[in-house]
Amino acid sequence: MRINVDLSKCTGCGICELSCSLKYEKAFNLSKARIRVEKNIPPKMFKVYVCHQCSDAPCISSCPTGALNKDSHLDIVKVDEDKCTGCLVCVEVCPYKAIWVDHVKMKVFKCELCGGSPFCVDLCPWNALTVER
Amino acid sequence: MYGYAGAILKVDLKTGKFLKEPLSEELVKSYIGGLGVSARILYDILKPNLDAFSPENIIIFATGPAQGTLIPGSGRGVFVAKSPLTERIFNSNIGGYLANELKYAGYDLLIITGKSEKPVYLVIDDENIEIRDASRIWGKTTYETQEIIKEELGDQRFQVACIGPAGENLVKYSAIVHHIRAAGRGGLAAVMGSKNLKAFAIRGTKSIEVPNVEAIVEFYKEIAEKCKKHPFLPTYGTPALLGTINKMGCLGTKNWQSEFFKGADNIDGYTTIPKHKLYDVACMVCPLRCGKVQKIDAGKYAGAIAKGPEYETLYSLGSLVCVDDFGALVSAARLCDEYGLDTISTGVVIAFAMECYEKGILTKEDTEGVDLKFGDGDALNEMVKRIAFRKGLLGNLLAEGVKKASEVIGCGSQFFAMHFKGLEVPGHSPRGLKGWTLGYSVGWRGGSHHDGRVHDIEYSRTLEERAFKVDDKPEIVYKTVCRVVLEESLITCRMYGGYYGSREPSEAHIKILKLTTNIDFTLEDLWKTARRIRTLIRCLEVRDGFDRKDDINAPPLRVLYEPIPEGPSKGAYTSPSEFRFMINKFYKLMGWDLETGIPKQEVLKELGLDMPN
Repeated sequence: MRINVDLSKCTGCGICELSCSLKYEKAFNLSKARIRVEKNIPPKMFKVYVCHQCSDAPCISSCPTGALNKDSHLDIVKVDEDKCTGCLVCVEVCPYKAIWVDHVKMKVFKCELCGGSPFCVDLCPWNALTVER
Repeated sequence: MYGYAGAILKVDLKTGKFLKEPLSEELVKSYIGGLGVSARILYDILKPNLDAFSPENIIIFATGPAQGTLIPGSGRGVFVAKSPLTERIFNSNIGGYLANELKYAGYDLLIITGKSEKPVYLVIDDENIEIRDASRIWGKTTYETQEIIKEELGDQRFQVACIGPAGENLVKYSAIVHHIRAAGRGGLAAVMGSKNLKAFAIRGTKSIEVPNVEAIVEFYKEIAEKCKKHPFLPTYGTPALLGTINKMGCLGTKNWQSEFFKGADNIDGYTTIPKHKLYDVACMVCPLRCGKVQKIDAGKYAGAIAKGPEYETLYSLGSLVCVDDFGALVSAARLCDEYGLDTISTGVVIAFAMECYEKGILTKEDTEGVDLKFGDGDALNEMVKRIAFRKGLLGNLLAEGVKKASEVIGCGSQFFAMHFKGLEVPGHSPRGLKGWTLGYSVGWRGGSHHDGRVHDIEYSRTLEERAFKVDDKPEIVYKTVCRVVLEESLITCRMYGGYYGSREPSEAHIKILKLTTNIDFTLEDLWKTARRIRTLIRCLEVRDGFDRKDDINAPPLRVLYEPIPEGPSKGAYTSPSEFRFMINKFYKLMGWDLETGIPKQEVLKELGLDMPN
């Protein structure tokens, strides 16, 4: 399961970023969002960064402490905060630049699809985001 | 404080010092934010009668409680400063992703004073403030500048606002550009240019909190559903308005010699969007996505790309100069964006010069070889370049705005110099929509299509009501002025009039305030706040020597003495007696003295504005 981005429908409105931070921080904070929009200047298209939930995920294989694992039920890459040491190897190896760091906790965070029904997909006004099962 | 970042950042470009001050709760309760709070601050610290290019002029970039939250249409911020074009207090609104970023960096307002000795740009990275050398980017276009700065700072997440060559050259109607959006009007880019400030870049990692997360999500969903059903903005954007307004006979054409443009179909959104649209763009938190990126594929101007051009630009660089070659129009719009020029003023100034050329007031010698005929797209593009770089005698003169240009050119050309209070007329007819003669004249900015904003109501009325009656116009202007100052303080986009109220302060505005700040406003409080903000701006005008004489002398003579000669609104104009009736009634509604136009003492007292001058 993963979030699919149709860039031809993305308007750069950032509602996905806001909904994500609202869900996890109960406040608006783009630097805490697990999905991010690069607001490129046209004709360069907008770019959306979000976890592709890779089947052979380099973040999982490179994590030295086993903090990243695949949820066998939903097929989602999850972070075990207790095991994360903040070494940031996963951030380095992610081909989609979709893992971020909480500099206060020194732990990484990423899209875990809100446990199956992602809030950003729910709020995206023009269906640029969909869930691929 | 919910909804606010809670601080003001003050930067002095002369000393390079900066200061973070708390945003007072008392201030936001009386003035909300954005324009309201900025006007109050300028009243307290800006010297009266200051030259706009004085190092002491202050430029504010302000946000309101809605920015950075999930309120639809809140992707806007407002620049406020003394304008070099009108020499008045001026606010120029901009979309994109700039305003929310300032709040995430921890500031509701950015106040810039002083003048740097060398070209610089300002970096606001949370509490890290840095003034950096801009000698390498001075002279670059607005798009180049944004890319270079993001590259230099090593993060695409920085949101940049900058000026182009026009702002550096102190063109009086140069525009501040961010992303593909512009704070176009009033020449505030020239104020930045006069301070040697090329740009500022913002990145923030802080949170904006709201009192009730579930309630704001519910509000978002409700408005987003309505936005998606809008009859034309999500699909065609504002370019769709052109044909409609032309069919009403209200489209400024040939420097307002006519209000019906035969070539309208060639540049109307319904024609161009299906052929030329690349994709849709929205500002932050906007489900309306009214921005359309269009590209010209063939012909002389192949490769030209612009956002829009929006309705106002289709008017100013299209019908007003009689250019129906869409490629030439897009190219001119793109040049304006790259050089950082206001498309409205640029088009009106060039249309004025074209009429001078047509009437023989200007010759080919004066234009230095340009065959400045109406309808000539090449001449249009050439003049845009000459204005941005103040090239040649005429380019340099036109860069001063149509008021100054007509004073210098003389020979009666002031009759058709289309401006109110020095600000060039936008694309909403002061004859076909008579209320606009009043709206522009009593607006603090003059020829802005936002201060009076009568067309949100008038376009849907009958010809008789909009063009031949004046009875209810003062009340319409009064109410919409109150609506607009609130929206400029909250801040919400004017495109949301259909959802937040297009007539007057509304329950929706109260709800937005509650959802963001948790402050309870009654409708009565809201009206009073709106009247307070408008009246305070009036006090700033009065302090600079502007009063009734400037309002009553505002309309171009063409509006008062030359009826629309053809088309569906044929015969419409605003007679002097109608104009005087409207002004007097408007003053009564505002509580301003009929003879002087100065707010009455009892009104100032009621609004808490009876402060020492």
